[in-house]
Amino acid sequence: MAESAAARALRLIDLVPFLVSNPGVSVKETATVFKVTVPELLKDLEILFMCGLPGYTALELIDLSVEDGVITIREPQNLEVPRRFTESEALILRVALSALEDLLPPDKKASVGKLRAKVSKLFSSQIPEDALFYQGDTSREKMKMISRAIEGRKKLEILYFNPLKPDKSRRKISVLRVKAEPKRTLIEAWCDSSRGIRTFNLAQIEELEIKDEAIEEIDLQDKEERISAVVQAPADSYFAIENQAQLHQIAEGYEIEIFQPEWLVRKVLAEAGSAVLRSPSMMATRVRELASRSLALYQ
Amino acid sequence: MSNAKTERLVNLTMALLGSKRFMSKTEIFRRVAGYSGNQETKERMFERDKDDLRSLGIEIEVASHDPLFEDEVGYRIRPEAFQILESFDPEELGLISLSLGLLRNDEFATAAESLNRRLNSLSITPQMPEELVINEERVSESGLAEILSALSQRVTIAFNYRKLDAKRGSERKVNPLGVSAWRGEWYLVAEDLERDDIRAFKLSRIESEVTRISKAGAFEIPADFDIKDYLVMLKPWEFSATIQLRKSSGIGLRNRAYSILEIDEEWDELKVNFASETHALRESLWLGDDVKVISPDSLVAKVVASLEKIVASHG
Repeated sequence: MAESAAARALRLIDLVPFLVSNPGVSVKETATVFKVTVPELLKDLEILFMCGLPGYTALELIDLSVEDGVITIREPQNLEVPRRFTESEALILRVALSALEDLLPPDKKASVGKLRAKVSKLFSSQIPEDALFYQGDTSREKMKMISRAIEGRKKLEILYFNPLKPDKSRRKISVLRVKAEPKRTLIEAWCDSSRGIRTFNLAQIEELEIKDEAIEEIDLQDKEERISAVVQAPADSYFAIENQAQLHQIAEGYEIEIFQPEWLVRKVLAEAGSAVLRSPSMMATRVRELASRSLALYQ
Repeated sequence: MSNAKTERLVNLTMALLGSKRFMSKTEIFRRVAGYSGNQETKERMFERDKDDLRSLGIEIEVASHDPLFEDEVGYRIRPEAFQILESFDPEELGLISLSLGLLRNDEFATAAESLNRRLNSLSITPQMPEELVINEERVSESGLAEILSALSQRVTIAFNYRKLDAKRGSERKVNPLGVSAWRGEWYLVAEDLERDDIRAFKLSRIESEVTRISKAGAFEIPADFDIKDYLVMLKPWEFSATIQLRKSSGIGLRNRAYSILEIDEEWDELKVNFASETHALRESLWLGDDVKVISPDSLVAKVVASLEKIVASHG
């Protein structure tokens, strides 16, 4: 489709301040910046040469020339300053700044936040600052890092939050595989500090960094030991929904393979009585003990 | 023909921008190059030119009470509305440029390029922030460009929306009030005109084109509007509970607590907010005998009843 006269007029208007602020710029570079062909740009300049302020004598016209492929603007008239953002462009810029702010490390966020507030005030008084909120997909960012570590066969250092432990732990891991489930993503990896294969929930990895260290060659015999347990729970319970991908329905309830017995014990407690841990009996006893000890606190 | 029109639009812009007073149509036709033909032809040309410039986002101010033109309407473009007159320092320009780079692959690419070109024409060299590695990110989502544009001009829009679990979508007519990205998904908060209520819409569930069904400036957005009040996941947690926690346990709760008081060598007392009573119940039970709920009473009762049930069923 042919470009509209209006779209071309806008480009002409934007060309003037660009030429003013880039003295000695070539035709070719200008064409690249404005995404047009060289002949199109030359035509633009030809039209621009005819434009000016009322009167249209040599004093009022835009004065420019092209020599040896270089553009010189001698008189921009009143188009010297670049065109202001439209309301819609200002909103797009606010989205871009919010996205940037979200991506930056905490110590760098403040300056972008300030700038975003400045842009909100300057350009778009009609759209309140709080009408826009941006929070990116952190798990996607983390997954990109993990993929890069796998490709480069490098170790990752992670800060891991395990709700069963009093402190967050910093560990070096060699990723073996990634399991994407409907409600969570699990990372199976060799963990240097525990000298074994461990499973990490992506959502609980708080920081990660690729180390310049080759991954451990893992003997898969070392696989993390799994325990099979049976839990009875309603189909619409948190337990059943969260662990959907891991559950096998059997007569007594759901069968699940787990790595940490304590994790399942706590999950069953959190179901507030609607879930029952059927086996192994040692774990069921642990549920009972923990519940009794908790109950004792209220008596 | 088209070249002549391009030329006339540039001349009109320059004339209206250069004029200190409002220019009447008569004056425009007499002084701005490119208006020819009989009065009716010129009028039509001017009306179209004016619409074209406005559609490009150039604000043309109209005044009917200029003392110089008692009967006639006057036009001008205020420099403040046309030019970037605010100052940005090199660092700010660097950050803007970096942020616009994020939109490179999106439907905003054209707008981002245009913004970048104009900012690069400010005769200030942007200073790119050092040591900043920005991972590629897909910021936008289909439909967002239309919604932002409608929001910026406060235009009522219509689209077909399918609610979660609904088999078919339904036609919605809404006044957009704000947008939010949350973990890779975009949401629109808007006044639903038929339901007479403010609702949240997930962009990925919009099944049609977004169409404009009003003129610009059809409604106003309250200055104190905060999108976080209308999106469940952004709503601040408001269920407050007081709990006692054994030292060195419950790091997640400790991080969230708004007050922590030491009781003795073994216990601390925390005031913490939860999303709901169910959330508080689940989190307290998960922590087992490392936690004792103090208040509210209804939560204490639920914790005790749950524990009794658990003990009974694991006998």
